[in-house]
Amino acid sequence: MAIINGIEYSDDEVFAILDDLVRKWFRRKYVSFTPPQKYAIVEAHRKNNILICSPTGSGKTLSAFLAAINELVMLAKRGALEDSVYILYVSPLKALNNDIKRNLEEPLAEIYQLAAEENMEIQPIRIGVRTGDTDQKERQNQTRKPPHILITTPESLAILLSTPKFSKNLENIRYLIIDEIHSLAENKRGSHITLSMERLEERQKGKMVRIGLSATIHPIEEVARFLVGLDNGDWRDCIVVDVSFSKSIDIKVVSPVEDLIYTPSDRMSELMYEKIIEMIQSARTTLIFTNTRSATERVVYNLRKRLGEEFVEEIGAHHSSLSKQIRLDIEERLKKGEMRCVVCSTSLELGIDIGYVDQVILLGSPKSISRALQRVGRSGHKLHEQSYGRILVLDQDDLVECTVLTKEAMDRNLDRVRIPEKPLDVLVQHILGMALEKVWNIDEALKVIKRAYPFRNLTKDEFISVLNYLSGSYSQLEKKKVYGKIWVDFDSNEFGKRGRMARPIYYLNVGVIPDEVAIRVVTKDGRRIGKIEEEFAERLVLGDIFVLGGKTYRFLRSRGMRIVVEEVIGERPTVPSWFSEQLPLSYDLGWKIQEFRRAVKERLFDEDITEWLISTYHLEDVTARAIVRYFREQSFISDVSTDRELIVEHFIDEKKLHNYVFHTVVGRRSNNALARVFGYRAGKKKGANVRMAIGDNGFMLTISKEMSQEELLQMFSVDNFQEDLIIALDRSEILKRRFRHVAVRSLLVLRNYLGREKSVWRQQMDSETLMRVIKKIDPNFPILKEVYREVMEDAMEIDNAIDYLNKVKKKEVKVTLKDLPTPSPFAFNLVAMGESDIVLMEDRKAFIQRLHARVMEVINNAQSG
Amino acid sequence: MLKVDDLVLNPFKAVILDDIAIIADLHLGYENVLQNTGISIPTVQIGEILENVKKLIEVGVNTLVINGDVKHEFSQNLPVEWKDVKALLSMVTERVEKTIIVRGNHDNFLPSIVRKYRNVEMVDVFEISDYAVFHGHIKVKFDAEKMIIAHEHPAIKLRDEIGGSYKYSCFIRFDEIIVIPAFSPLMRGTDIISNPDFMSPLLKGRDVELAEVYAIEDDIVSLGTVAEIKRALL
Repeated sequence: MAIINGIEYSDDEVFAILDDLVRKWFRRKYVSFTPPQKYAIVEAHRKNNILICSPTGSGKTLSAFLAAINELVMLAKRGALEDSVYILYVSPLKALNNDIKRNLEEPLAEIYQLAAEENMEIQPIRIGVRTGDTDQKERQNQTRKPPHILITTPESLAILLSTPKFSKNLENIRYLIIDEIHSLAENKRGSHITLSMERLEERQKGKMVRIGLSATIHPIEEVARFLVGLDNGDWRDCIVVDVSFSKSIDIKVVSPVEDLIYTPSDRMSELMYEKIIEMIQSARTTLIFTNTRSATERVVYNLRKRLGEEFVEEIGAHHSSLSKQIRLDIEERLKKGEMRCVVCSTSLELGIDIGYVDQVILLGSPKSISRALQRVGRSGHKLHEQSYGRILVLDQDDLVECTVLTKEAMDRNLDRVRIPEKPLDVLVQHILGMALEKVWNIDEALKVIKRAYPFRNLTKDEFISVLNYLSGSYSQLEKKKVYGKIWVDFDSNEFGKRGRMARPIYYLNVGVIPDEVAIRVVTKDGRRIGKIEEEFAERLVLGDIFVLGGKTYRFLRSRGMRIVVEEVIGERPTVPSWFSEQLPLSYDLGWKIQEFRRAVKERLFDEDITEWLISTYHLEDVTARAIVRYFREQSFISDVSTDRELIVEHFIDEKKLHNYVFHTVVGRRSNNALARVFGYRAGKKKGANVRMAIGDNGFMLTISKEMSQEELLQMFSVDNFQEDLIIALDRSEILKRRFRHVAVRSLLVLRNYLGREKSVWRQQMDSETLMRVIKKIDPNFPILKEVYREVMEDAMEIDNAIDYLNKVKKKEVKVTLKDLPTPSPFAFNLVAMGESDIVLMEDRKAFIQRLHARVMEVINNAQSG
Repeated sequence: MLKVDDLVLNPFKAVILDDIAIIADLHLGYENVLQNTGISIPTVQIGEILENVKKLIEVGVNTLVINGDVKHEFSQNLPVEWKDVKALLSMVTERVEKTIIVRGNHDNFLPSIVRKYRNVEMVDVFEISDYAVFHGHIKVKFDAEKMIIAHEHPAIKLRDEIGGSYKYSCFIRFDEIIVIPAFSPLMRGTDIISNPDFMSPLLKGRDVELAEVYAIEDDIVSLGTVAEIKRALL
């Protein structure tokens, strides 16, 4: 069996399984079942696990809930409902939880109404929501009289599992529904929930059916496996239903101007807003996605300014930094059709019913085909309505990227989802949670854990190392047990909780989302400029120049939780500014772009190239001509890098440094891995430090010495790639940054301890020192291993980087070197604003001695006058 | 090693005068304090500290002066944390003739512990030659003209032309005052260039630009004053 495709049942077949009362209710309210309902309800009734992929407005909620509600109604009619949770619904969004509650209360109320009309006695079915926001009184109620339908979040579920008073109500769950599973699978929050699912499964006295709800995602079989996990090494069964194609979609790329390089930015801005306003006025309700919170605010401000007074109320912003009040208000008004336009960063990507949106505008590339479809799919509320989306591009690379992305999206060629592999920091939290439940046999516990998809390959050694870490035994050599939160006994082969603090530590620190502490930025005269992330502040050194709120500032000094700066005009930022992690271009889409480049290159000087682009890629005249111009400019100065030929360019900049641009269009994550390894190899070869700029379309290395053709080609070696990457990461900023997150997730550093949610990093300990200490204790420390894994596999895509290099090795991709006087057009974005970091090759002693010599020079010059 | 006047700056973060070595800011038991803020690491620095002190003594030291903050903070309920202090004193008293502990702001010592060791004395200030050695968190009375203090945990952080950053512990000197870096391996120190407000009343109001910096990396490297370093870098 395992993973199989679902079949569509007829309306009659679905009605046949329903209780009379429920059937009557449905017939009164609806005409027939929607496609996902026809696929799912019978299966759920038959107790089969099921993954449902369907678009907004397709009746997803009922497809997941109806069979379950049906069962509850049957029990309620017989007076057989007990005080226990029968249906458990989990979604990553608190907002969605409230929505769902309402969407369930309505039909239930209608069903009771119907029962009353027929003089039928029916037990009330209780629905409850449990999140971090649930107040004490409600929590107590829920413990006394558990809701039959419990709606919660992943973090709250993990806590409930370890709460003795409540967890006994979780032993007879008939249906477990996980919503927005596509947004959970690809990050640690999803890894976290799979362990909750297995802990839950372990407690069940009967069969718990798993129902997953997802937006469009690929490969769907993998996500199904993620949902159901394994049993004794074999995948559990799951039916897969994909009706996401059933909604037709119309996406197009739009450019406000023809000349995306030379149009001055204020003119471009003007034209962009003109275009947006034109589109808003041609639709009823428009949803605009930007990619950042600050862009959201800017766009709303500018739209209101241009549209005038009457529109102020009808245009709103929605993002996670806004208060709950404001967000709820916007959501309500959207649902009622009172908004003309809502601008959000990513906050409305997920499931909340948003009513009448009939047009989606994406400002700038959404970076992956799946995301494009998900966002555009938010338009067209009813199933038969078309999803309508326009992508507004603001630079040439964006234009090329979105052109290819649009075609792939229209053809429904999705990029593959990446599911994190056995993240140990997530495991730490659940081991503690499990220890709070009871004393476990080590092998039994491992069995339970390995049933979860991400942990199917967890070895016993890895498990033991995490147990040791949690129990405070830091190394085999050091038998001292320090600050353990669990005890482990290898003689009796068991582990359990330890100390009074174990439980509060778990309750207060469970969760995977890293907290960012903000450091205030002020000028010498105390004027407040804004805030920066603490990690960024920690790295600042005298003289660093960085950008904040569109202006440049020089770092002067630190003062406790603030830093002091002075504004500098006309100076370029000097600090690596990677810290804002943007959405990456997917590797799969990157290859499609490379293929596109080759197709364009082959026709570049044909007369009909513009027509070809317009017809093949659904482009407008303006956008097609912009692409042709961009490619031709690149050809005049250098050459176009494609899926068969990689162009590597060399130029010397005004500081006399050598720059090497690799036009590897593989996405910034893979480029991150490639750049670091190449940077390390180059630095080692030449004995010099290397600076890297990393983007989606390539990477650039800056070094003080020139490299020969041979030396450049040597860097492409696949051998020792991982080893070199580990060394290259050793002193990098990204490692330190991720270390903090992993340290907090693995409870090494507690975010919330003894009621204090204060940042520990600035005051007590810096991440570099802590990492150094831990490495000394045990280089195989599970926390360290997880940091490297997270960085190499999740933050970067080491497997894809190696895949690319293998293609070069097999000569599927030829490498061509070019010497240029200046950067080529395709390299502009990298040179101007690419993500950066440093590979330190020069050792500390050499640097300080070099500085000493320079200081001596300064002193001598001063003395000689 | 580097000679500055009649003192020798030693890369083990010590100032040596004849056969007297002066170190400071060991902060033993710091890990315990970290635990109370929610960071769980075991006691790691005592090993490194013992080793480094041994190596320092081997260069020919007969008197060891610990200029304050031998320990970080002790909870009265955990006498087991005294273990590190006892380990240090046991090892040191076997190797040197005299041990002098100058009181620092974190040293809430019970005199009983010190009394257990032979030739260990606790003072508020130690005068030798024309130097007064004291921790520096408060002013103390003395006759000497020159001072050796601690408390600041000085360090400097620098960036090169490519953009890489390096942080070094260092000694700093203002005319008649020398400041010793923190001996504790868990405390790299505070960059004086971006944190120019000194804590010690002896240094308040002093212009950091005039501080002479002696960086430590295997050896001692003289970098001139902060002003000169800035000119060399920018």
